[in-house]
Amino acid sequence: MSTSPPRLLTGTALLFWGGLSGHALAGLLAALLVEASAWLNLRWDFKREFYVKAWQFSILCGALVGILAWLNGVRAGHIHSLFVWAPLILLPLELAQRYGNATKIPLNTFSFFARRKMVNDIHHGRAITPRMLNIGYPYIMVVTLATAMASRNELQHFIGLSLVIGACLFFSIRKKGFRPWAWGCALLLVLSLSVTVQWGMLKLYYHFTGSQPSANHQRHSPNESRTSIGRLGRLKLSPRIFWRMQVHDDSVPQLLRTATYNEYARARWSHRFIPSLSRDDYDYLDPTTMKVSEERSIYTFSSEDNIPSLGKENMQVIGELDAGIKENPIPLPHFTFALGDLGEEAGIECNSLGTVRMHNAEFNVIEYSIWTGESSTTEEPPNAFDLHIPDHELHAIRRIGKHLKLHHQNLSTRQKIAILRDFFNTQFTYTTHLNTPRFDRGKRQSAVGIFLETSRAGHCEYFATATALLLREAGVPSRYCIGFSVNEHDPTRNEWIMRGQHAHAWCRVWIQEHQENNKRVAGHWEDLDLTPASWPSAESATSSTWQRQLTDTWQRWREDFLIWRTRDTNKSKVIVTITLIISLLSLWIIWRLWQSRQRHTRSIHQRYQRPQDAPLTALHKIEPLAAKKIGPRPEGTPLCRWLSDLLQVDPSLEGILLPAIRLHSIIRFDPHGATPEQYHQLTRQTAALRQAIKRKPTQGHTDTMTRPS
Amino acid sequence: MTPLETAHLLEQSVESIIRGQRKTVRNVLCCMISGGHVLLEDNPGTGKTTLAKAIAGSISNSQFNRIQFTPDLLPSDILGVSILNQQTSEFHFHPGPVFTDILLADEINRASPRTQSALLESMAERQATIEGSCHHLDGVFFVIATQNPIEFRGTYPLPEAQMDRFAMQCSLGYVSPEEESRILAAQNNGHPLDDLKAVVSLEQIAALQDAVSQIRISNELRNYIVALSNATRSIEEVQLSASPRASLALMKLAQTLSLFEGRDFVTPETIQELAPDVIAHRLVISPEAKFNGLTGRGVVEDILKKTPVPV
Repeated sequence: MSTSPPRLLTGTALLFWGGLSGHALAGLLAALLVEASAWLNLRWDFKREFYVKAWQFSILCGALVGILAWLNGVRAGHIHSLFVWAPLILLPLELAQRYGNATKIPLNTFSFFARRKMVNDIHHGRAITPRMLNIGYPYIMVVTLATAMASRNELQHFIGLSLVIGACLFFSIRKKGFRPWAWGCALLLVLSLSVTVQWGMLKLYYHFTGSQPSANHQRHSPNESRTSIGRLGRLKLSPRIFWRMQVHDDSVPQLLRTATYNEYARARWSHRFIPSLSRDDYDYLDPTTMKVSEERSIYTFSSEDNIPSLGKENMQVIGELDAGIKENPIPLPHFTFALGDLGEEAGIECNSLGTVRMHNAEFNVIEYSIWTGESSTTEEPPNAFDLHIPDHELHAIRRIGKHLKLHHQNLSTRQKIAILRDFFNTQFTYTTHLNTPRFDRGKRQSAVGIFLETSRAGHCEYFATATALLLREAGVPSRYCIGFSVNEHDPTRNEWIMRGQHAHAWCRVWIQEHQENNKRVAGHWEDLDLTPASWPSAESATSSTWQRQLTDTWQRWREDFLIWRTRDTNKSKVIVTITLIISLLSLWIIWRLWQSRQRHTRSIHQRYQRPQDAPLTALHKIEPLAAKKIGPRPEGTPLCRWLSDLLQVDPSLEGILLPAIRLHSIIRFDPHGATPEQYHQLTRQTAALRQAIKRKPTQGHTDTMTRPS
Repeated sequence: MTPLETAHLLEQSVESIIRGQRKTVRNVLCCMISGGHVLLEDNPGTGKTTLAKAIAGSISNSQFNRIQFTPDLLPSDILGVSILNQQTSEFHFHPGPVFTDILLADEINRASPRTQSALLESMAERQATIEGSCHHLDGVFFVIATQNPIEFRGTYPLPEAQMDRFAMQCSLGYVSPEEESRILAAQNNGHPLDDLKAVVSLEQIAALQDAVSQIRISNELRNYIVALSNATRSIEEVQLSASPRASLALMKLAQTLSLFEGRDFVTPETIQELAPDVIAHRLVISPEAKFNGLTGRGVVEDILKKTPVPV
């Protein structure tokens, strides 16, 4: 596009961006800066090199935004979200064009290689014709795209976008013969069509998917876990560190539970609950908040009457939440009693299966403290869902149950568990390579059935699912849970590391009330993990490489820094440092711009030092008076030529001025010198000139000031 | 006839052919009178060759030669060559086109640097050394070289040393529509050059050149000329600045222009008027500065603005 946008269009687009992205003040300031160029006479004579610098400064701003985003915990996968800031990042370039004398900038400003080629072409004397570009409209396009990235309200965005794009089209294509009504109707038609097509496509989507699109596309969420049961090939688990845990006493938990589920269907475990008066459509259990001190807030899931006094926390966990999930389940040992230090804004809630969800976290990287008790206080007693076996698994489970005689009346829960433990330990092997042959649906074979009856090899999800279903078959309520196995210890930092490879699945089993050592033990949930004990070594076999150590070090450093940065005492330090850097950078740019403006005026004040023997003529003395009429004389302009400008004010001065100029030139520059008579003549002429000038009105100085000498 | 009358007569004669180019015509004539050479850089069809012919035609008994520079032109095609006379068994020197009063080197940048360099000695020393013997160039030796600014393919940019040999570089440019209309009318019944009569003689030109040396210039203005040249040497973007030859050419041209303007002495206005045409083409601007739009003329104009002028 070669034309510049009309006045106020860019400012309107920036206000639109500011309004929808939630940065109204930034949008207003940017709009004022951009549109002020139309009302101010302030201009700089920017060279092409300056535009390159403005572009490089924009890139620097982009990098700064990237660093700030990184400080806020934005991961590389969400880097595209930073495009929201593009209007401000590219603002220096837009301002350079607005406040520069040139209306276009070379296209090769944006390419280092194109600039080098141009310099080489010049060096070798080749013809160069750089393509020039007015970035006004491209900048508006960037602003509208950024608005689209930031916008949450579709209707407002659509209306605003339609107006901005309509205005852009209107001002860029209108020419002679342009018919505004026809154009307006065509635009309305296009907008109506776009709304209709989008609505139709959405309806089609709902029709074929059968449901509203879900915002949660994650494999694991508090309500659902999609297992890898039935999938072929090698199960690849990430060696990246997910969570780190520091334990302050000797009670290191073997397993950290992230989420628990109670219903299985087609390789998918989910959370079902019986609606009650207190929880109609959402299963949650509010924690009790207690303040230990001004800085620390602690949540417990026990009734207020039974809250014991809390001492030092038992363990601390550091890790990164999944930004894609609104309510992140966090890993906890099953005997967690209280949680704390989650941040001022963050809140937690727990469902009836004991899954603790964190919401409204201020930052993705979090650190929290855990106080442990004697037993779980977050799980409710079993219900009908904990004994349900899906139909397509029923036959295989029944066959195995009969084979293991799990239905025997006299068997206690512990004995049933012992049978299953023996069954899995002796007849099954652990593997992540899922080479289970395709099952035949006609024979009512399921993946779990094939695992139990044919292949007898699988990973933890097979073992946990099979265990849970077999226990249900034996009449023991059981649940499926996912989390991490705690088995990698870093002695140098004294912390336990949970990687993707340590992700694990196991069962929660209900142990009924019974007598043990003449003591009554209440019914409670226990962890039951029947995956062969060799699985952690199989998972960690490929993990220790120097690249992994390097990645671990970087990740730990990043997380520790982000945790440090989120502490209240350090927040102000970070803000002050960033503000200081930005302020210094801004001051430096302002100073440079001011300097470039000053340089022009300074040279005017360097006066010519006339030699001692050079005569001073009467015409010299008229300079202050003439300056009042035609502005000060630029130092590079000869006196006679400058005085000639008086003729523009009053052409009738010609008869007095030109002879005076001629006499002055003789007196001043003829080495032979002038006669006394010529001196007298000049004095008379100058006196007449002075009188004539005094009679004339003052002219604006601008023309003389800017006219090249 | 006074030198001023001679100058004006010559000027009017050339202006009768080259219309609407008063300033350039005067500058080119000044260049010739001051003993310098001129490089005309202009678009095709603007009257470069006609100007050279008009000057030659206005001077009686003057010899005019034209060389069309081409890539295969050899130095001997310019300077001349000695050929063996088989009857006398002696070499006889056949002077080349350089032995003339007015030489038009048309499209000089189309020849190779080697051939272009053949003009160097002649332009600077007014002599040509051919096969060991030195041949003096008598009379008015005035080179008008032309080059096309828009074609670069198959051309050889003039070497910096040769650019310095030209006292001035200027361009004619396009005339106003009114002047163009008068040019068409004047050529309705044949070319005005055909009717051009010589108005001055070579002797009068020589007298004019003597008169120029009598034009006075004050020390202040000499220092101003030096200050202008010197200012080009302290600019970072200028790789090759103005030489003392540039200062000398500026002074001589200022003296000549003062004569044309009817003055016996030089004024700062005259120096400022000539400075861009005299200095700009000698400057070599760094590629980076060129990229930023800096030109030799822009540098000189900036210097003129910034350098304090005698008042």
